[in-house]
Amino acid sequence: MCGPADFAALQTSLTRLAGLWLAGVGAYLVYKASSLYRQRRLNQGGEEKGTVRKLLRRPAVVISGER
Amino acid sequence: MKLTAPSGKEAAVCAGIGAGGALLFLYVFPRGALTTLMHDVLHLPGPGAGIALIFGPFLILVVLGSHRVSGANGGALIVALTFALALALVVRLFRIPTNPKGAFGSVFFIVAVTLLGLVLEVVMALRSALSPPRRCILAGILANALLLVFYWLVIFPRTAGWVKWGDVPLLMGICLAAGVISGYLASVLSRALSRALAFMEKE
Repeated sequence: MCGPADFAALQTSLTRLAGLWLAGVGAYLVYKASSLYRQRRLNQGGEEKGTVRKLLRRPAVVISGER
Repeated sequence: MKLTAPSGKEAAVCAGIGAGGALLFLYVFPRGALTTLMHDVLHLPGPGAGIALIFGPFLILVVLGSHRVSGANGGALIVALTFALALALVVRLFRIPTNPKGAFGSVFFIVAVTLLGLVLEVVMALRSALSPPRRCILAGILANALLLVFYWLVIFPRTAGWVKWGDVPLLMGICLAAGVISGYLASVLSRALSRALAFMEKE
């Protein structure tokens, strides 16, 4: 009723499943790394902008006794 | 309950996922792998162990996952139908050997998979009644049980013979447990996927 056992097919199946799983994990790690990198770059850009804004907001230096 | 037809893009995405799922299934489970795993490694009775433990949960994961990602009404049905049609087409076109017991690619197979999609679609349409994870679990249980019963009553009598009454409780128990697990996994995976897609769209 069930047919003969085919352990070669089962081995192929498990190998392919493991390969797909590894590919999935790899893709997830690449996605995670790239999103972290982008987030970090965005934060750095924000920090730099903040520094420029702070410099611009500083009151102009007034030198007394100027001619 | 608000029902709207899926847009062309949504339908195309669902059809692509269905066809991809069929190819993936044929690639991962060559002929003889499921039967050997079920009856010679796990020593489960048959027929129906492979349907309850592997094929049904695989389909539920593909259909529910895509349904929750696309969010389209009718998405589950489209995915299930394209899964069945693509599998039937690829098996006939490339003459891929499959286990005759499962009748993969036959008309009854297409009907069975479409029925599974219909059950998933109906349960997932109960938006206000249940929370998403519970809906997915209920959909998984009902769809897997329906698929197994359909195989027992319609397909296996033609290909492998009737299931023994003594094996029904064990196989049905496995089927229900696999339905719970696949429904829950589909809920978790699709939530993560939709979050990732939303993040990518935002960027």
